[in-house]
Amino acid sequence: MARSWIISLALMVPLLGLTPAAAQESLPDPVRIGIEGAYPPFNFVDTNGEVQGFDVDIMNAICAAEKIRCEFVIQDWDGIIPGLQVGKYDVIIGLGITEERKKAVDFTDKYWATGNRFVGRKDKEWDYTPEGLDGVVIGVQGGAWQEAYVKAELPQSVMRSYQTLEQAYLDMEAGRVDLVFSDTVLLFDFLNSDRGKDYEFKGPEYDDPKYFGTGVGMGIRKGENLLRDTISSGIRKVRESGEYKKINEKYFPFDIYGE
Amino acid sequence: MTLTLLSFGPGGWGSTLLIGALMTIAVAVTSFAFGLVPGALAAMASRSPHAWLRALALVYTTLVRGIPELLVIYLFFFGTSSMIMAIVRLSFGYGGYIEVNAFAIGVLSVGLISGAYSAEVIRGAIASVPKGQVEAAMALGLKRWVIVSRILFPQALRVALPGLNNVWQTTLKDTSLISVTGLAEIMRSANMAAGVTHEPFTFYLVAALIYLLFTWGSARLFARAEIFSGRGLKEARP
Amino acid sequence: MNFQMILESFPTLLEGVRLTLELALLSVSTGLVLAIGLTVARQSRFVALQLLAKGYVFVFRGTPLLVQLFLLYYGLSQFDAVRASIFWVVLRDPFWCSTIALALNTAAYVSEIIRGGVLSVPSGHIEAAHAVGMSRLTIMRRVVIPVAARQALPAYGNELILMIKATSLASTVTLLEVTGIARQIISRTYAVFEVFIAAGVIYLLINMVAVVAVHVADAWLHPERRRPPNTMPVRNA
Repeated sequence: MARSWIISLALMVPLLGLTPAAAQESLPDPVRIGIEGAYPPFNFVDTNGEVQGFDVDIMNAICAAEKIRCEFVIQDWDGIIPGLQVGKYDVIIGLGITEERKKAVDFTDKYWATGNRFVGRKDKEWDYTPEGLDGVVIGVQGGAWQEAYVKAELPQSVMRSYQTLEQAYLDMEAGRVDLVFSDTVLLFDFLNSDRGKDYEFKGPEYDDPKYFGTGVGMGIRKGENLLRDTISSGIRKVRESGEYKKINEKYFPFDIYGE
Repeated sequence: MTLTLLSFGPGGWGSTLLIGALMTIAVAVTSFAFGLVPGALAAMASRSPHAWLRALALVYTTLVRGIPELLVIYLFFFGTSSMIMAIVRLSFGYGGYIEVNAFAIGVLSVGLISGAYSAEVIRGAIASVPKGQVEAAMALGLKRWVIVSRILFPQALRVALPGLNNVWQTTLKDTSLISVTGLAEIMRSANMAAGVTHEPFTFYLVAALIYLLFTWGSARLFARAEIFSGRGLKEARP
Repeated sequence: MNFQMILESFPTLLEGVRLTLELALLSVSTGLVLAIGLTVARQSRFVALQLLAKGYVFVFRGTPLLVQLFLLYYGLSQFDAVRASIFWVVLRDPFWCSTIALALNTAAYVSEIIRGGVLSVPSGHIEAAHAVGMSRLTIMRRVVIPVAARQALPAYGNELILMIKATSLASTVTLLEVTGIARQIISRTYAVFEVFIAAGVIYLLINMVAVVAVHVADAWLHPERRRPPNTMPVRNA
């Protein structure tokens, strides 16, 4: 009896560590890709339950270039990091790369990066300096780079953090928020839609690397270097072959890779 | 526009939502029923003469009720699969990923949460049966089981039903949290459809209506049960 | 699991406790008043009032609180008429929207709890009170309320805890209470378990206080369980 207690305690240790397997020498087959499926145009589930979008096309191209078998696993965003850590999938597509997050997951090279801008009503204008934005309500996505920037560099403005950008837009339409601050490519999608017609880009483009990370990459469990390097090399191959450009043009009228 | 979004044909989210709704009801019913087991056990334990049983019941109900539901679900889902994988790794040396059925984990975690709330309701209901009745039954020499099934249970059930109805409604809505485990119940389906179509209100309203339909149906069942368990009692109004 | 991370997130999370408590206290107290009104309306002689109260309870218990909050906060604000009205002063503020949604929701549940408590009062008690010539009000005060309150208290304790946890939904409308801050830290660091466990401990502590308060109230409502003063405890022979 006492022995079985000791064994169950020993079993609890890996449970607490939540590390499913030691670093592998070989690549998993198939490589399972965790994807949210509710983030158009990057990734979204169609009404048949299939994932589509820029992320899916890029990932398929990477897998083809590296000759690995890939499989998508759709996962709610709130559970996306635990799902990786427990081994439900091996790669998360579309994580913003920052130093702080590197403590929890490893990142591949970036696969897209655009600047950051404000969006606001066409009939309103501000002076885009800390003093000019005094008391102005700025909506950001919670935890995003823009949040950290506003907190540090625009302390006189009022910041509101939303769980999704969609909610920030809704509050801008309701007049609770003056400006929304986010990635250019995401805002572009909003401005191009029907409801974006009264809004426009405001102020300069922000790209201070101190706040805005180094782009968006894929998240990998810590220590799985072979997988990380394979995906990074896949991204390079897809860039070089011109495949990237083709997929880019399918979704966006400008280059989203950055320099 | 809205109607095509909700249709069952191509381009419509009807079938996705329907499957989500069925999943919700399946998880909710199983969880609630499963939760009555730890609930009744904890209620009995909390009235036990043994201090350690009372303490155990108190720890269970306080801990599970006191921490946010989402955390319980996180710990269960990812905890159980890590544990099973660890057992398999130690015994068979297989280090790969083992999928633990998301439905079973959902029922286990939501059921345990639901049970912690049922326990309080059941405990209060048992306490509402006057002690004298049990003493009288004992004096008459009735067996323990007869006292429970013929005297305690029918009277406690009447008092417990409104409270259990509350717990059931909470459980029904708690199932929306298990979407983090990857189970596509109604809230997850609605979220996905809302994200893709940029029409949050349409889909949240539909989800709300589906929940309302479920509670409407279950409220009728509970009302009938209340009438049934209250038979032989007349209501006096002050 | 990184225990350092759990410890490190505590001080930041604690900054949200005040807002969590404000939301909980304000909505629980307003909700209780509303619930009493609803219970009275349900027992009323006017059918219209009864139906209204019944419908209210049905809709608010029957739909998820998150959806109610979304419709109140993001939904109403889409109408120009709402934005032009005097209510906008209150409705544009996420704190008031959350408090209103929480209070409206808990009122529906609590009115059901009160109803269950009132139903548990044996009709014989009330008849006996009538027989000794008590007035309606006295019967309420001396017979119905004390007995019903005892019966309803455990369920009300449940509801209190549920409400404290439900304040976490306010994070979806930009409020930085405990969960709002937890989500912020998580999306910055991706330390999901660590931060949620730290937040869980905070909620657990707040709820323990609520549980103790309910136990104290329970003891107060059951004077018969108290040992009479100046008597020696009788030892079993």
